[in-house]
Amino acid sequence: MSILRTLAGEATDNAFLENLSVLSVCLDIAMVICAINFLAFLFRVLRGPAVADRAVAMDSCGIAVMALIVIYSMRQGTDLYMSCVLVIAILGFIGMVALSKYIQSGNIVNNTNIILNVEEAEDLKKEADAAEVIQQKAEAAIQKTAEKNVRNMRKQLNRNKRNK
Amino acid sequence: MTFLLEIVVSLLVLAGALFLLGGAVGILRFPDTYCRMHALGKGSTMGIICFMLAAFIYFAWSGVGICVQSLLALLFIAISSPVGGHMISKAAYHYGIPLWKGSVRDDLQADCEFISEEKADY
Repeated sequence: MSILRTLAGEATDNAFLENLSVLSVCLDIAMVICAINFLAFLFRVLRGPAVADRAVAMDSCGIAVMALIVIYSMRQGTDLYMSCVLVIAILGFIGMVALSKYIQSGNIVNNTNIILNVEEAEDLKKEADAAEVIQQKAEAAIQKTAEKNVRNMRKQLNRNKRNK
Repeated sequence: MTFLLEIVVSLLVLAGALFLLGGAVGILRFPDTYCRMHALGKGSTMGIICFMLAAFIYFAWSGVGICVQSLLALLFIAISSPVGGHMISKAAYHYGIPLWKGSVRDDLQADCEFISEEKADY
């Protein structure tokens, strides 16, 4: 005898499941556990610090819903709800891929500003190093000219003192 | 035979629920984004596989018929869930989410040094 049936009436009763005492109790236990899992995933969606945390937890919310739909269709004894499970699985995967693209590059379709190639990254690094070297040379030249100016000023000051 | 099938389906349903519960405990308790993804990837994949096997056996046994959708969903989840988890964890690493302070090995650091030099906030 099912626990949930004694607690609240059921819409349709499955004649096949009524003869099985172990399976109906197991389905009830699994339903309660899946509801608790759904609440845990929702907690992580609300509180997770990173965007990736929320994305993965939302995908897992979909998976908990799939498990609940499977249990419900087994309790009702009908085959029709399994298509919903398939659709939720496909939508979850597509959403996961789109979110990972979005997290990685900031936009979904445009892939020009992602750096995934090691050679390209090395080229960029070389360019950055060359720019840094040029900047260092320029700084050194500026410093040299400044020192020259200071020396010239000191020489002129000394000459002035001698002349006095 | 009936009792044996009933025991098999009940055990599959309970195992799937327990795998999902393991994933939920992992996502509540683990300290790091990557640890949470690891727990979720394994737990939810295994739980859904168990549920789909249970549904397939139950529907074939109770006279409804062979449920092709459950097998398709099993196959699709078994392929796509690890791929999705891998993609999103790599995206999170490139985004610059820091590792847990107790993690001992970081193989991606040599490859991805150029992408996240300074660690971004969430």
